[in-house]
Amino acid sequence: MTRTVSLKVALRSSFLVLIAMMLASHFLLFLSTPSTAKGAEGGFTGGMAGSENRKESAEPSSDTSENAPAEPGIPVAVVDSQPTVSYTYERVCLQGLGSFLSPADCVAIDAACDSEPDGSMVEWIAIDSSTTPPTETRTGDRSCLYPGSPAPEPPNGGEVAEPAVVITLEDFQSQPIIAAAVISEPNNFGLLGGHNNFWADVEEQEFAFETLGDQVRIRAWPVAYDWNYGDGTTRTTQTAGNAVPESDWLLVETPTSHAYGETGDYNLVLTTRFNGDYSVNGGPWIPIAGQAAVQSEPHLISIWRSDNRLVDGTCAESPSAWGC
Amino acid sequence: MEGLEAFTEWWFELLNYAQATNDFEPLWAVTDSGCKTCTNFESFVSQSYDGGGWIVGGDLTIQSFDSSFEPTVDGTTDSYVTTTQDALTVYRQKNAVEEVDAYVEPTVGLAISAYESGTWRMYDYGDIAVTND
Repeated sequence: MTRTVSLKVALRSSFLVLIAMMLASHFLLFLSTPSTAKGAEGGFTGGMAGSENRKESAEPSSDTSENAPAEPGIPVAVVDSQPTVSYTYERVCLQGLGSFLSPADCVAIDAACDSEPDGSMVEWIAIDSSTTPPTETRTGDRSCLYPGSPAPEPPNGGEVAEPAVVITLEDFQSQPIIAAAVISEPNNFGLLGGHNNFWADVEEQEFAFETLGDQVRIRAWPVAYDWNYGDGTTRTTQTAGNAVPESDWLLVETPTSHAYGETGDYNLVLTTRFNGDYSVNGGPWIPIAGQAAVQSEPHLISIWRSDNRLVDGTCAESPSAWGC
Repeated sequence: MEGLEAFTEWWFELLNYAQATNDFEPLWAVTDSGCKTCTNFESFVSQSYDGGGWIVGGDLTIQSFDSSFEPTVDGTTDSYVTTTQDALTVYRQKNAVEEVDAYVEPTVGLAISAYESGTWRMYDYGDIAVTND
């Protein structure tokens, strides 16, 4: 609180500082959310600043003043040289895992972690081990997780809660993740120029094993689909696609459908990308930086041409007629 | 905790009211002085109204509100709030008109609120801050 009040006093006392701060916030905003609209600034005229103003920070173990009233008669705040609070992090976006965030917000949130490829935003969780069982509380501090880069540092110079077992990206990628089944409608043939609908039948998967007496669970869930339609066309979707009613087959375009420009046989290859978290001995789900890409069996699709002609009579009447 | 969503909607109403009237008292009555986005916004609005100018439009609309409703270690609760903003026109003195386009692409921001003495209070709203980006 003291920090923020003094900030405002400083702002009022110096107009130059105010201008500098506004310019700085405009500049930062421009960097983070480039906008095509002239003069429009991400959601706010005047400039949106980083949201980090909180109450006075308090260590969960010593926070007995406001949020966790001390019980009368019980001595509290015993000074202990061993820190009882350590930190772990969890994904902000559990895309496809029943997250409270919408997929669109998830994409926007993870897009903020863009200084390296494939960034994910994580939130730090404080684990207070002075209670039984340990108490987990959100800190409101967030970091970006990048594959191949060192893990982010916890807030307030705190200590990382090291799990008994660490699962690496290589460990995750070596799990027997079941590939998606590719389904095309109708069956394995389609029509030239038609919207041939494809979708991926895939589910969240969990792997459990024991290593040196520690129980490890790994969960993998699909987050992106790389479609190679076999005719030189590729596309990446966040959706697995879905079945369409038979009356819409070939007629209705879907996010995963494809119209072929020539007849022939094509091998469609789908690669599904999975995110992964792991949990040790029933502890919190820890995100694994990076993804596992799992390729499905090539899916053969025959694209036919359709011809229409007006005919007279049935094939029973004249078996040698066109189309019989 | 449903009250948090209602409070957040109300807070944006107060923000829109402040923009339309240059009256920031109702907004600051439920907002912590450390909200930097609010300070920026107030500067923009009060400068626009200086010397007889005024603002038309620019209302912010909440497109989505999401929260785990779990308090953080300092007792605040985080919500992810996606907004869009209508186009606005600043009518300045000497017939100078400044038009600002609508922000149609939804922007996701972080709202930090706390329930204190029976009422909600907004600590901050702005870009989601990360420690290492």
